[in-house]
Amino acid sequence: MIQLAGTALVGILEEALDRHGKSPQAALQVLMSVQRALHHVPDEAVEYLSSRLSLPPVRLRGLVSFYSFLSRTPQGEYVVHLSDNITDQMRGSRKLGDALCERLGVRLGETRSDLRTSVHRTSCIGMADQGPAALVNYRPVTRLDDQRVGLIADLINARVRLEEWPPEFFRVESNIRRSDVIFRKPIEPGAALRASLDRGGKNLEAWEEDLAPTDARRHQLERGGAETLKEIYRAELRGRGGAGFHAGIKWQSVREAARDDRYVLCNADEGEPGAFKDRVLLTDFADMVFEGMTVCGHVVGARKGIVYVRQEYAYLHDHLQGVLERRRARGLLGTNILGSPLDFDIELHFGAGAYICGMETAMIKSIEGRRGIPRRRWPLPVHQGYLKAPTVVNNVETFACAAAISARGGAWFAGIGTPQSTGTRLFCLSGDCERPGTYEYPMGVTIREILRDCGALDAQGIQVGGPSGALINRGDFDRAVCFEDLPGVGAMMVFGPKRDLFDAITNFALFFQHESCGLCTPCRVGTTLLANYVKKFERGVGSPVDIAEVKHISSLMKNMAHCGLGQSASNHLMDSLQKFPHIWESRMKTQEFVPAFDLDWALEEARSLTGRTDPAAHLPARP
Amino acid sequence: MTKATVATCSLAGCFGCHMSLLDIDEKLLDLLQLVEFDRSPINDIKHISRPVDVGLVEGGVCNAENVHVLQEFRRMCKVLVAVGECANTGGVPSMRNGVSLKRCLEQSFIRGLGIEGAQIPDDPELPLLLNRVRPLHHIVKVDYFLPGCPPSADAFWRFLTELLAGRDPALPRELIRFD
Repeated sequence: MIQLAGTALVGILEEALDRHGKSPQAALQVLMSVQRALHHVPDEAVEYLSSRLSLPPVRLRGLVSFYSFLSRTPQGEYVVHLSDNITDQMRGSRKLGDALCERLGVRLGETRSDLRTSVHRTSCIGMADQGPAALVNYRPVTRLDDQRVGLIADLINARVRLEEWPPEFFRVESNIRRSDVIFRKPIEPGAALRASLDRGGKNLEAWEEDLAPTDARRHQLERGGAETLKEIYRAELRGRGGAGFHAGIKWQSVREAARDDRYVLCNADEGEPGAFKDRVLLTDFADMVFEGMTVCGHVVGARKGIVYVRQEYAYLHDHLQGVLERRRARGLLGTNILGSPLDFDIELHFGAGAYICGMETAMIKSIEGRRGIPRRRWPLPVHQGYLKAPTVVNNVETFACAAAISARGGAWFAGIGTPQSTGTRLFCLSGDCERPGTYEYPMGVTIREILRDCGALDAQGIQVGGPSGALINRGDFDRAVCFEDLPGVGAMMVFGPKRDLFDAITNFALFFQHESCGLCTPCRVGTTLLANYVKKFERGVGSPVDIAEVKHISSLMKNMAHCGLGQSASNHLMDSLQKFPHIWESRMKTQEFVPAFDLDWALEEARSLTGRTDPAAHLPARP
Repeated sequence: MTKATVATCSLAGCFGCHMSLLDIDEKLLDLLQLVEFDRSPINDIKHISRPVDVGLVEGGVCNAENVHVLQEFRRMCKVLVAVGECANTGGVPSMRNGVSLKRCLEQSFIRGLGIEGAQIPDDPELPLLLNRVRPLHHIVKVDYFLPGCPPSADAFWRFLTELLAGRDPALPRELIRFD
């Protein structure tokens, strides 16, 4: 048992405060450190931190209840989060999870009485190409099978420290199966920055001769930024996070903002189930991502960048810090970058388990140390973003592309892909394919080509762009993936000919129900109602009346929900009704409305309380 | 002109919706030009005698008898309307859903103040309670939802006249805002 009161607790809390600072923005980072150290955030810690962070206790309690990796009640010393994405389930994750619980003697969602361990299910942890996967104390363990699960149970039961576990358990593969012009030969660290600075009209040697920033040098820096912005425009770079907004317009808005404090935020909260390209980029191309952010800092005149990384990727912390350190040492970050008057540095900020934080306004709130609840998008983040300052928010891949554009020119980038979708795109293939992993293609590639390369031509359907994207069938395989046709993030979950797609849509419906932030009624209530209807069909008591209701609720959510989560949370259901009607029809045993529950069962409690068995004490299932 | 037929009932409700219907005052006479009432507490007819055009159901579903009545309404009514908060959502009676039925009944019949011969009633004459109070649409298909606690007399009038005239009985905002 951990001594909660007294000096031990205070020591842990002070250590967390030392590491993350005492500003309100540090609140979430501090709480996550406390969670890791104490396996929960006790009320005493909230009281103590509230005075040290100068925040009301309710603000901190609000964070603990919002983020799924924070808990008020004690979790085990070994916390297991089983990834519960459909791709995990398709490889038997549910059975493996049950086996693990049994071997550990703990019920799912609960903590063992000796506080040794707790086992939970969680949304996709970004390992869909090497699942079933789980987080053990927030470190990913991949490729689970019976043997591995047995060993994990033994190691936990024997209380072996994670550092002494077999390292192959924690091996995460990048699985880059195909690379194209951007990632086949990543640019040299510094090349994009040098190009961007050089556009100011003076070569770098000259920069380095005289370090004193004069007006002329400032002017050159300014001109370099303006020229690089032109390259971004020339490249017609569009955001890779899903919405496809033109990066140039975003950058220009921040560049022209009236305030001097500006920020560059990189969205690495890759929560979309089935997506893992950000993980690959941060692992293998972190330099390019950071360089793209720095180039953006140059263009917009920001001095600070922040990468918001989901907690599931916190295992990359040391690696990313190492890359940042190396870049600082090489003069690619910090003050007077490459000898120029450019100052820019990058911080890492980690989430604590909330899909909604991938929504840019929610992410900004989370970085500010608040609950990740989206706000109205006026004012736009480019006008009032992080700390109400003008802020660029772009996806990890967008920044990597920006670095390539700065180094190689906008015209080069614009020559790749299609007229409205330039460049290449990273695709995450998972599910029923022979070679799951990351694939880079020029924009406009057809689904069929991707399927051929990953070995999945027999697929009956694909969820493109994650659960909020589109579910497509064979009739769509000749469609092109680009903003003109099939947009969305590059996650593709493949369903083979023998799969029952109803399992997939059930998984997605429950996912959205869990991840709705609860702010607006259409989404909070709508996602639950839709999940209930899906369960109703699963029980074989759905009818056309219910289908009509699903459609009605879906249209309400599309039109009325506060943010993109609610607006897209029913896409998979609508798509499945259109493209795979048989999975609904085969479960429709009745044309007439039937209650979702057994009426006679609803009298059971009253029967046992009164001891009645007469005919009036029962209800027929149907009138 | 043949009159439309209407049946009404109150399940787990307070009859407030029926009172509000009667509140259309002198328009009652106009209404009677348009409709003929079948089963209704207004005329004390106990069962629907023939298929009717419109069924107005007040109150949620809290016991086995409510289920039977509601099913009869669904069977006999061309158009079934959930009237008022309780029929729409379960309303005040559904506040017991946060407590188990066992605790509810024990508090009322065993542990409550001044109880003699404490016992949970088990007379077969009494309908058994469902474990949860339900809105109508959990039990049967509902065609229209008339909101309000109770819906105002004007809302009733507007809804019925529009419906009987064969128009979409969508209510304007001023009839369904309550603040």
